[in-house]
Amino acid sequence: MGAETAIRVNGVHKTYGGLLARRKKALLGIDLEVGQGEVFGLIGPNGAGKTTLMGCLLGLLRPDIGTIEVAGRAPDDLWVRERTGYLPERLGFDRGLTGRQFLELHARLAGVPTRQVPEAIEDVRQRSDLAAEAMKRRLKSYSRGMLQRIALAQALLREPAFLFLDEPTSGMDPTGVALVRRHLHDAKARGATVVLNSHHLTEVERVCDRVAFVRGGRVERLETLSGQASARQAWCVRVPGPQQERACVALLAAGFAVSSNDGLLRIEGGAVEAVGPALVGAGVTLIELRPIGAQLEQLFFAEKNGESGG
Amino acid sequence: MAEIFRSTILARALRPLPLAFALGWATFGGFTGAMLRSHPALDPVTAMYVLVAFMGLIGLDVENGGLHLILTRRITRNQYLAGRLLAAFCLCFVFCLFRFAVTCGITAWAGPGRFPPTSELLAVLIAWLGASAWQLGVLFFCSTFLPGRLDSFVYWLLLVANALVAGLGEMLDKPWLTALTDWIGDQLLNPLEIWAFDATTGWGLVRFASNLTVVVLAGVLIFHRRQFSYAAG
Repeated sequence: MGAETAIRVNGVHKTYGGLLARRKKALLGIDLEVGQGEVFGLIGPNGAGKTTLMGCLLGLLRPDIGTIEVAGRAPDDLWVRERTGYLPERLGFDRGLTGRQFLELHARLAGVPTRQVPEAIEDVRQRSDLAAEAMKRRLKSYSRGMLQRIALAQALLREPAFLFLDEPTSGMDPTGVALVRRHLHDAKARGATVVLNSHHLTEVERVCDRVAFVRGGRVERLETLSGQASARQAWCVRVPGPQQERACVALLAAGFAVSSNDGLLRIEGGAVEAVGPALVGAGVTLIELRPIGAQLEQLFFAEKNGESGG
Repeated sequence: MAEIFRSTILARALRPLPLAFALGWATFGGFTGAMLRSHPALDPVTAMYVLVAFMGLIGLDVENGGLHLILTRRITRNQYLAGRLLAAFCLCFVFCLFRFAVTCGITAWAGPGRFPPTSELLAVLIAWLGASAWQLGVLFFCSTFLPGRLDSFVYWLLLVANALVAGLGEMLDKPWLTALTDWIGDQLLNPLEIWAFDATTGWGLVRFASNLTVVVLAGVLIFHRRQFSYAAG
């Protein structure tokens, strides 16, 4: 991780239920550290405990055992909250509010000085690609994508140092997805720490520095993207037919596992940067080199199916 | 807290439907006040206003998930509760004053001779204010643990069920049942009995205020113990 720790989770257990309801263990000893300025992804199957963990990180839920610190303080400390932006998965606001009233409420709650509220609203409106006309409409007339955008807008108020996003691209069209991606890059560029919970693995892969695979209330695996994940990536290599055998030998020598199928070579297990030099060195012409599926997707299914994978 | 106060006023009074209901109902209540000239333990006009205008005072935020967003902002749970409750109390106060003004206007219009003594008018106003404060307190208490609009529904249900059982007690001539329902009714309505203006007045005030304080504090304690996440189901 390297950077200064922004979020520290130590041995967090959380159980739901009680006297009347059946007890359900949601978190079973989560340990995590998220660095300052890091974009950290939470991935895992439904019911893995990701949203519960997010609730604990935000101070909405109290762990039964264990501690959580955000910038060395409790997550419900007002100093932390002043610097927190949160986009919930379930967009349940008071739908009778207009877009402007909603953002005004949250701008004031976020501590934006009264005189700067209109300016702050206009800023996040533009950054969320919401039409000015939409600000006058009640939230109940908004489409799912617009609700997601206005929720994103409120999360971006005051440029929070800690950004928690729960399924931020849910219900969004491709431009919306690109918008979220841009904001994540912006947040990272200004040094914000981002925790992203998403099922869109390709998006997670594009923006996250590290991901935690959560399953059964535990962190099964921490993955630094472009590190181990890259090594697990499978690639498709196309070379001229007569040179295929030479290419196989060169790639095997470079440390790749190679298999041949329909005149194409499938390689995995090495650094992709080594493919070009290995083939050129062997006098092979490289026609095409492309990834097979998303690397995180492969890791996700490997973890889900219980492979250790290193 | 000011923001929560403001948003409560906006949502519960300044939108067309709540505003029309409050004004219409207060005017109607003004007529009934002029006709009744009394301060019954359960003033149906005030009760109806409180239970309709403020149903789901906290529960709706919990149910629709808005509370999750609010509580991740720079606001404590106490500030949130205080904002909601104070705004509701203020609106009840305005409702009662408006209704009182209508009552006085109608009584004066009916003829100066029919205007009751000031002390009686004041007693009516205080009874309305007390009843609305108490009902709001109970609604607030229920709202801290019941989802959505169930707070209002449960309070109505208790009042109606108690009245039915009381009627049954009288029908079957069971004095113990009548006494029991009287006692329960007293707990549910917490009537402000200060009209004798003698030694019992102080005791009546203390009883009313302490009951209200206990109910509100119990709501606050319950709310503090609650954890909020839609993952919790």
